[in-house]
Amino acid sequence: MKKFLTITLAIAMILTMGSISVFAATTNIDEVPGSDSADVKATYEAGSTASTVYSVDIEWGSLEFTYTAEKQGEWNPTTHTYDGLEYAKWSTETGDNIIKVSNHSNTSVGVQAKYTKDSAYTGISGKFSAIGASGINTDTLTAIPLVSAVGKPANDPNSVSISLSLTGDLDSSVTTATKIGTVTITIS
Amino acid sequence: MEKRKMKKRNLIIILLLALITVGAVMTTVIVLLNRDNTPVLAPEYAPQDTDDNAKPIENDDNTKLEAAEGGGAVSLTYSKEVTITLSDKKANVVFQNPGKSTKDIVLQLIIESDGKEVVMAQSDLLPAGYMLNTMTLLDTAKLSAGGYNGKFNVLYYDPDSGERAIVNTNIPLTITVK
Repeated sequence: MKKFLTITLAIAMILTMGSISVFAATTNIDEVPGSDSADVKATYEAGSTASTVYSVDIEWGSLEFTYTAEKQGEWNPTTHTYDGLEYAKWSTETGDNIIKVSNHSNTSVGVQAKYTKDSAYTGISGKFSAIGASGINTDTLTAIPLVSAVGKPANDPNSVSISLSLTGDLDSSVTTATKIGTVTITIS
Repeated sequence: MEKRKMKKRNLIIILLLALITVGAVMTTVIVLLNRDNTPVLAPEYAPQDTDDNAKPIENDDNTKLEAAEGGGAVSLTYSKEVTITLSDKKANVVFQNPGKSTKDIVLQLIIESDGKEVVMAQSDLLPAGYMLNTMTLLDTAKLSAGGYNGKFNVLYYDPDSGERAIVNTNIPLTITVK
């Protein structure tokens, strides 16, 4: 029994030594303290570049306007003015004259608006103003930049709202809603 | 004698009817041969037919955008590069009218040449939820190979009344003609 135990222990020791020598061979560290170096290797694998995707939402109100002709009121001989005088005006319901453009693209876009008069209503002009941007132009709004949607939540894209107002006089014969012009939104 | 006269009169009537029939057939043939296949450009009302090249957009979200009463809301997805192949009279485009749009579309492909804008192709109806990868050039389209500037002119139509909207959209393009 003693003999068997001795042999088993001897075999265990030999095996342990062997494993140490295998480890030592891998790292080439034969002495303590010692050092070794190993190559760090890397391989380039081609990735991909996302292609440009243009995606915009355009929303617009009814673009229906009402022209109210001048109300002269009554002549007041004491003040030499007309009491209740109201000048002619164009009006819309709230939001009906608004055009909103939202950018869902992975690149920036430019937004431009243009009013084109119908040939029968050349005396009426459209003016645009961008809410939150400066500048009002007569019939063409200069391009407004909208930065890309990268990093923006899908439900909160970069957007611009443009309001349209009209000037000029409408003929008294137009008593029902009639097309007097068109709006072109250019996305550059 | 009377019988002879009647026979002669019948013959004249038959000949006249035959002449009228031949004339009518010839007129029909001439009209059919010279029929102008060019569609009405920028029609006031939506075309009846969906474009032959239109395909449904896969995995499309059909939740409609909120649109003001009497107004509209559209979503456009597109590429600004267009290639025209003269040999098959086709333009390769990327243009989608996603299901969330509240309007149907007619798409025009316009090219700028010699300071003029010329409509090269016009789609039939592109309903919301459909896309175009190909447009067929109009018979009137005359082009030579090269690079051009151009644009998409996007016209919107009410799906119920078919009326064209007051708003349209222009998208500048780079067009390569091969």
